[in-house]
Amino acid sequence: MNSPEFEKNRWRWIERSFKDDLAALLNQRSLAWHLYLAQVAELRKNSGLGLIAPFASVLVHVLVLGSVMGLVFQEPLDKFLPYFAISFSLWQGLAIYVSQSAQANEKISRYIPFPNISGYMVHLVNAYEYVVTIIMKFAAACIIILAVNPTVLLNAEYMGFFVGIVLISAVLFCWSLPISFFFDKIRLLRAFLPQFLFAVYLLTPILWYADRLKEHQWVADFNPVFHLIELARAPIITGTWPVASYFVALGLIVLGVLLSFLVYPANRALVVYRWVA
Amino acid sequence: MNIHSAREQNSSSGEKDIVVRLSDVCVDIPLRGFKSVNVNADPRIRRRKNGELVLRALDNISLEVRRGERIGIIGGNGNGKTTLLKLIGGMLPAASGRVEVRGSIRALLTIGAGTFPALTGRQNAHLRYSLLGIKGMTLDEYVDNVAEFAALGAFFDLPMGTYSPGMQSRLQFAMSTVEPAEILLLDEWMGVADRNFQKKAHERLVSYISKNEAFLFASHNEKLLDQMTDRKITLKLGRLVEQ
Repeated sequence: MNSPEFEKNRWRWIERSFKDDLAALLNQRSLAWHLYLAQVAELRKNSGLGLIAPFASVLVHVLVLGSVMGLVFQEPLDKFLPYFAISFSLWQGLAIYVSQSAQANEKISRYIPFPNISGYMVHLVNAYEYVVTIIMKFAAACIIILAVNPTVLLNAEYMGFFVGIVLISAVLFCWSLPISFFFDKIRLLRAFLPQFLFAVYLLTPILWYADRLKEHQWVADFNPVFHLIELARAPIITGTWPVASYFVALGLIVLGVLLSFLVYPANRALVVYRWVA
Repeated sequence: MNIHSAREQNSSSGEKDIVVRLSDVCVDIPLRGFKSVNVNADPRIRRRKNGELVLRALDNISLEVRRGERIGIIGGNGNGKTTLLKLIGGMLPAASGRVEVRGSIRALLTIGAGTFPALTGRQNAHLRYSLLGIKGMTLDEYVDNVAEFAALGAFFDLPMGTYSPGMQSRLQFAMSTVEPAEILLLDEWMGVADRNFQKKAHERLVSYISKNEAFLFASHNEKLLDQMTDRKITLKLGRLVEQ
């Protein structure tokens, strides 16, 4: 649209294409890291815990909830606690990321006065947070596993776990924009997000083994969250590489990118007009 | 000077001098969540074919800004002054028409944006350096400049949450006015701290403006506009009524 003399208009987020915005984000990844550190400082100020929070959360939840549920399900704790520790860490990270994405447009609108900043900045900050907190949660899970069944850690496939975390992060990042758009377009649904996530938590083999429902295996097979968790859980718990889950993750990435591309202009309009709407 | 004569004068002065050009630009603000607004109550509220209500915040604006021009924007509340600055500053898209901007922009519209109360003044300055994408000086030079101008003493290394509103304004103003840009957009005069600092801030702003290629300043204070600009435009109900 613009004449060549006015090509500099491209620096404006409101005129950038989806592709250009992602390219801008690539150049601003260091800024995203600093914004993440600022967020951690805010968290420390508000809760007094900062990065200790995800570590402590997993430790307490797994020890208390895991022990109780292990006894309720009559599962041997030396097997159930490692499974639950890893599953819960992954689930909690995922659920927090989805919740943050659902609210991300509010944060994005804070950066409108800086039009050179990528509209994806907040999502990258959230992704950094996801990776860091997953490391903290995994550390807490490892301490529990070490205490109840150290052989699990000896037989774990750590490279598989790393690949799994990378894939989960990629899936979450690719879906962040559609999630933001959906929960901003229908804001009423934000109020039901905790209940929705709780339902997914109960339906997904996190608190229970997938083979408990052998006759209804489809509950797991057609549940993308199960595959996301399995990506990083299987290499630790069974020392295997979950091939089927890799395909599901790649499919989710492609679908997420496609959806992001489609909703990008509409989501930008939601962000831009937030101060009025 | 009317719009047409301004156009004729501008077209004869060469294309290269133009840093901002708006051609028949309209800005529509969707009024989400409102169904029963009386569209006849205000000529700017319109109903689109799909039933959506929009506020036409700017209506067929054509404007050219040349290098070195200092333009004051006059108009009552809600007449589109800030919207015009946001449009040029890349914070609002045009619903129709064409927006052409040549050169870097520094917009002092929402001066409080991009700060974190849990971070120290110094850490906030570090972040602002990246947020503004400053390239004309090193990070250390930028932070030193902010520290010197804000004159917060030991508070510069304390969390911003401990600052009084005046101290926050000092820091925010200092961070936004270190590096000149080719186009400076300013919305109202910012109430910054005590009288001494206001004088200092005014001087810095005047010096800052002198380094900028073009300056657009929206204000109700016509005396201030007389001092700081050499041409005025008036917005009424989103329309440019005189230049």
